[in-house]
Amino acid sequence: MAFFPPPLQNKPPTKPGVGMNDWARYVKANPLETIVAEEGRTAWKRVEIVVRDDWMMLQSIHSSDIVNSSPTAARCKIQHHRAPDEYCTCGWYGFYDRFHPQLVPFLSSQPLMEVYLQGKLIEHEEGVRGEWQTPLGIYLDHPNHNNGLIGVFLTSYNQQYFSVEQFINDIDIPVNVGGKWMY
Amino acid sequence: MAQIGVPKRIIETPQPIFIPSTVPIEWPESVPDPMVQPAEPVRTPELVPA
Ligand SMILES: [Zn+2]
Repeated sequence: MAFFPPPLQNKPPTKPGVGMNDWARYVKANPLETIVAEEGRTAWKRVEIVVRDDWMMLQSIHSSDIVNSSPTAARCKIQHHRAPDEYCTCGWYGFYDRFHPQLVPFLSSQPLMEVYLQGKLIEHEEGVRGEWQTPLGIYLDHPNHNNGLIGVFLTSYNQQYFSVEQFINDIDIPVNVGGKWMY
Repeated sequence: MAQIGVPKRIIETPQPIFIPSTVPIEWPESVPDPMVQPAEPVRTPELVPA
């Protein structure tokens, strides 16, 4: 029983070879095998805390898509096929290694997130793209978080600080601060 | 875009299990449903010849 909106599949994909990315060229030369598994897999990503009219939201820093607390299907904005696609760059992204260099904390408004990816998965060398994404937990690991502060850039390019406590109250996902889970 | 290396394998796994809410939705009785026709046809007043 599918209670979720299906990924957009009503538009035909663009012609093969048009707008091909490096991955598409690689897959064309090295076709991928498909296996079936009972379990999805966990992965790590950085998200951005965004404040709009007193609402706190989480966005993927790679796609700018809103990260919901419940399972959410990826939608391809390029070719409108089921995401992820092996000839495309769409899908929810995650790294296998929590300490991957691309996950090093930079801004206090970009916490680390562990997600569970299900449905169609494409395994890459260092990370995975998934169809369904469910957040498992948010890790506040920036040095500013230890001071109880998160600095967020507003659309006016002003920076506003708010407390870690306010973030925990507003976000419907378990938050880990300094090794302790806060709800 | 994240740099996650070249694609290696496709895995098909089950979709997430959704547990629908068991809380029944109660509709207020005072609000008439415009899509429901009245049980008895509304009688139009007969025209009185002038
Ligand atoms: Zn795509």
